[in-house]
Amino acid sequence: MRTLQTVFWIRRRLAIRGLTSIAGATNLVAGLALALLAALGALALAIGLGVVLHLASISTDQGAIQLGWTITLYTIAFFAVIVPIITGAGSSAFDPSRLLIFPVSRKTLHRLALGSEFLSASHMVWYPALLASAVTGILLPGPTRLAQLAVLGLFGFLLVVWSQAASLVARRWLRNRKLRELAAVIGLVLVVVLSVAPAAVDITAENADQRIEEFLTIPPWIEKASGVFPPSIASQTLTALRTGELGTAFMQVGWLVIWLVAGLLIGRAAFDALLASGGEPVKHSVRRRESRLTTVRTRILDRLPSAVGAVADKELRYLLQSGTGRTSLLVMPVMTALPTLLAGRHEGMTVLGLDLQLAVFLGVMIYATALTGYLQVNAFAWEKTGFASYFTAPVLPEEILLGKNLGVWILNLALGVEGLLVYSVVRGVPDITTVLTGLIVLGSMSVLLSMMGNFTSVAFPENRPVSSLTSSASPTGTLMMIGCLLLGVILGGIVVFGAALLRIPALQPILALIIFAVVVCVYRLTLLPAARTLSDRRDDVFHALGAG
Amino acid sequence: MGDTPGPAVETIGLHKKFGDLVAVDGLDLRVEAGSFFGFLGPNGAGKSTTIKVLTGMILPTAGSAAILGHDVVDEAVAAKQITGAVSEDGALFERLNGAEYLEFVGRMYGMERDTISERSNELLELMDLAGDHSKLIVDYSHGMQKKLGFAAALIHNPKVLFLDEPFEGIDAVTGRLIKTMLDELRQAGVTIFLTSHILEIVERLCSEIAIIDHGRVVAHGSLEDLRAQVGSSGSLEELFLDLVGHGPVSGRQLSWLGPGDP
Repeated sequence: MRTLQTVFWIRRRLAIRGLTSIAGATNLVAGLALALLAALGALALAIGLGVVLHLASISTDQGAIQLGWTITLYTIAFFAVIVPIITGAGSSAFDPSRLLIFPVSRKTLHRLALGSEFLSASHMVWYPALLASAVTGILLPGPTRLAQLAVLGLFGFLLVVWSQAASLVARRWLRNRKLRELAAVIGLVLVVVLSVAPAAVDITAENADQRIEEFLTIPPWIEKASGVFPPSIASQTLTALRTGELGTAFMQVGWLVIWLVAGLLIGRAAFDALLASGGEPVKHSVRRRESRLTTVRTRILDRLPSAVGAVADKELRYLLQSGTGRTSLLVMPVMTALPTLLAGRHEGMTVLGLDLQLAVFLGVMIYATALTGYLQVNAFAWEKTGFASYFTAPVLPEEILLGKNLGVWILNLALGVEGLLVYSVVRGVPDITTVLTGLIVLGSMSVLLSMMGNFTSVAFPENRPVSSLTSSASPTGTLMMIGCLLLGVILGGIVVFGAALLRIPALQPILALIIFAVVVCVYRLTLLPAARTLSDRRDDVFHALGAG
Repeated sequence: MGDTPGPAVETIGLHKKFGDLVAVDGLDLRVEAGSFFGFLGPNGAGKSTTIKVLTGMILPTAGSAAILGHDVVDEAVAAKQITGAVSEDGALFERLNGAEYLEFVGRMYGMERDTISERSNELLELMDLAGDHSKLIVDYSHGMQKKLGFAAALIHNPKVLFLDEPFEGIDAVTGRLIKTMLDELRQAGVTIFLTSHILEIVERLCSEIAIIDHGRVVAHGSLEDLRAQVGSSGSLEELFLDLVGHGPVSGRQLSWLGPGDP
């Protein structure tokens, strides 16, 4: 208990210490705003699942009730176990390896880690959904059976245990950087595909009911294979308890307990294995060859002023090695193909007078910009001690910022071109007006993000490993990025809707170009103040990156 | 170096504060061009902070500092053009390989690509890093990182070289290599500004020494000058302890340390 108190004391001290600066206080306010947004997301998830379960529960069909529970519990399990691994939430949780030098047993440390896991922010996303399912699936349909609530509670406990076990296993056995990045990239692509998959059901079609039913019907082989997993077992248990099949329910609870014990044992084994290796990541030798792409990049950047080119070149190398950069390049084709395919079913459809195809293409370009948003608002995140190199070299701070911005702009352009190519393959090459408008909107938003990012990167810097897929941007930076993207969408909207209202499509690229010119002028005006801020606040950036 | 005006390094009333903490407190220093200067002091005395100010990594709070007559704030670019620095913590971009990093540094100094390539190959060869040219810096050992940092500091042929704890955490082989190179640089007329806690090395290499404490110079001159100041004929370590040792440590005892209960 004393150790637990000490851990909480340290965390409280660090949290309070973090608030004793203007940046810390600003981050607190921004963090609260972001927490509110996350809470709204969690609420939406809870309401969505609650409605699904309620609709299933008012039915007298046992199959429908079980299907409702299955969908709900698998969704909750996905957010509880899989999402924390993908977002790396597990690796940022309580790190017991720092307490190894103290006379605390590993068993105690494991308990501390598990206790800390229950309070992890990543689980706050699905706790409301579990609560909502208890209300709509057990309390509302009545009669309330305590046994059902107990089973749901056991399921929630099991999820936390498995979440910790899975995160620890991922941290221990996915030590190979490349393997970890690959797994995370595949996971992210899966999330993206799964999150847009329901949209594949065309609810405007004539036989919509049948198609929804087809979509919601689980194929028998999947149902059989998934029957051994806790969400299916819990679903069967809850249904059996409702229909009074106590023998079946008792047996299924036994399976849940076996899963729970297995999770605890695996978690403990992974915990010990992780501690045995000191919790440090294994270094792997990485050798790279000069590719043709490198040669082309070098030739382009050679034409720039030496320092700006050097920084842009370095930035691009980092971006192309980073988890975020690689994921962006892989996710972009998926996120272009899916909406383009869906929009293809509605040939000639307009949205507020705007052609749907154009809207989709613009959406793709905006998405390409959004992918690099986190890189822009925390631009020095990966530099660590390298940050000092900028200041020992005879270059001006504005050259550093311009070089870094240029690196991200090139990545943004590459993502835009990638989107254009995939769109052209799926739907055919869009007309030149659309292409120009889309690319100019992308450019405007990218410059807009850089303009704001040049200040947030210096005022609210956060350290972040290159291979990390989590944002690690400060709450203020994240909030500013969201604001910037919204502003970009509004500006893009003015361009396309303005031209659509005037019925002059050719006006789109001209309006876009005017907005681009304005954004570039403002960027140019803010570059020197941003450079001065960088020069003045370099001590703080050194400190934040752990380099000073 | 003979035509170079003024001292290689000069600070006048240099101050650096971090919040309420005064790291450098009115430092007055003059290092002649071509000298091998040892900058000593206990932990927290302000050595690294002074080097960071002189190399432009951080800005001074007050006072001035100049490298070969170029003010480090007002003429920062000109001052950095003639300066090389090996920082205590490496200051390397870990996700580049050795050759890429040297190319980056060379381009930051406005050098031609061909020259960078030529010098880079030579430096990597000399530092015994050529075999690992495609390995990322993050995978380098501490000694390899030190050597690469050293190579990066030399690629543009600096006139003043700042070395912050270059011998910390390196093996004897690398240490010998660095000492040999420093000797050659001194003969070539490069001004070397060195901080190190290994006083034997400072005693052997440096022609001029300054000792600071609490951000102020407490002694400055050749080893003989320092001996005269303290009135002792002992080693540099003994002089150092006399000047900044803050009293004897042998008589101090912890009241609870002993064979009793923990």
